Amino acid sequence: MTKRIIYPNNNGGVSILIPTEEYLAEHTIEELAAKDVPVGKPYKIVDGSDIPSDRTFRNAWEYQE
Amino acid sequence: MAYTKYSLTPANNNAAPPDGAPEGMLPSAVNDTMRDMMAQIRDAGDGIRDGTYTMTAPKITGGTITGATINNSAIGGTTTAAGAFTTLSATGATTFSGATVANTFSSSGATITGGTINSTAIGGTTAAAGKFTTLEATGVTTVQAGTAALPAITTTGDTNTGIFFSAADTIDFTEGGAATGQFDSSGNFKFNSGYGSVATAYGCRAWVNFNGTGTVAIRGSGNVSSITDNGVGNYTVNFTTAMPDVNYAAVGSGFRAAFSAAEAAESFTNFLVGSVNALFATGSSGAAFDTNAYSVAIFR
Repeated sequence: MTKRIIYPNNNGGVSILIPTEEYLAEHTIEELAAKDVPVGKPYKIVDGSDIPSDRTFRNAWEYQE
Repeated sequence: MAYTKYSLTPANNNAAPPDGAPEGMLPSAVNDTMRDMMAQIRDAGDGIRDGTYTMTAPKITGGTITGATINNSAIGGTTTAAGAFTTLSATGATTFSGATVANTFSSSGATITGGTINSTAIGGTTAAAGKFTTLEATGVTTVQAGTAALPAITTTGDTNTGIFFSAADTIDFTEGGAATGQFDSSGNFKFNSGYGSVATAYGCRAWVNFNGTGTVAIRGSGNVSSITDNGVGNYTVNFTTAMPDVNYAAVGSGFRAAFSAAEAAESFTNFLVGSVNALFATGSSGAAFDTNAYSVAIFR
């Protein structure tokens, strides 16, 4: 499974950035983070399998340093 | 070549008459010697004229050679003749009249006007038909502007279909003699794809189809670098190549079996050149929801 980039959003939750195949065909996940993660936000690159598939409480998810 | 019996040294021509004229020769022999000399002069003249004699170092200065041959190649005259030179060089202007140049013809500055190459007319004042097996130019190739009925670039047997140039900085396409497409001078692409006329086409600048349930996954995309899952029914679509401004149109749809189509409401906010925020909610309650078939398209 492709990588994901997670970062804290302005609502106190966590945003999960899902890359497209077309972009990763020509760029790295680090380049994507530099482009699409809001400036100044801390972020982590994680495996897609690390993201829960149960979204029942999606808005309660939090970003942990 | 009996004349060679005479010596180039007058004193040595003293053989017995009529081959020579020795001192004290009888007067009766004088006429015999003179007649012999006349015959030898005639013989030598005929030999030069008929080519019987070989000239080992002839020198011709001035004059005109007409109707003769050199090594079986006719020169001059009023009719062409076959023949070959191993090499032929001219430092001045050379005119080929009705000639065929075989194999290699090399020139550093030749001008060919009004002739043909492999039966294809070149130059002249009128266009002519003809074919080259292949045609390659390392420099710029220029064609006439053409029209919709007679495009400048076309194909054999369908000469009313092709490319023409209706105005400066404009490229046109025609099919069956009718204009069907154009790149105008502003870079706009216009086509008639069932519209009934050639009009500007506004392309989709970005699109994405993704599943927002379970593990969020992108099915397909164009000019989208990523989507950001911000929460239930809340996604940011990030463009690979930014839009020229924020005045683009965003359209979207979301489907979930539990809701009817009438209940689904899609809205967009935070229009930026690099991204747009897509929100999906139920039309009745306004509650955000996830669906398994999100589609977003951007037009500009």
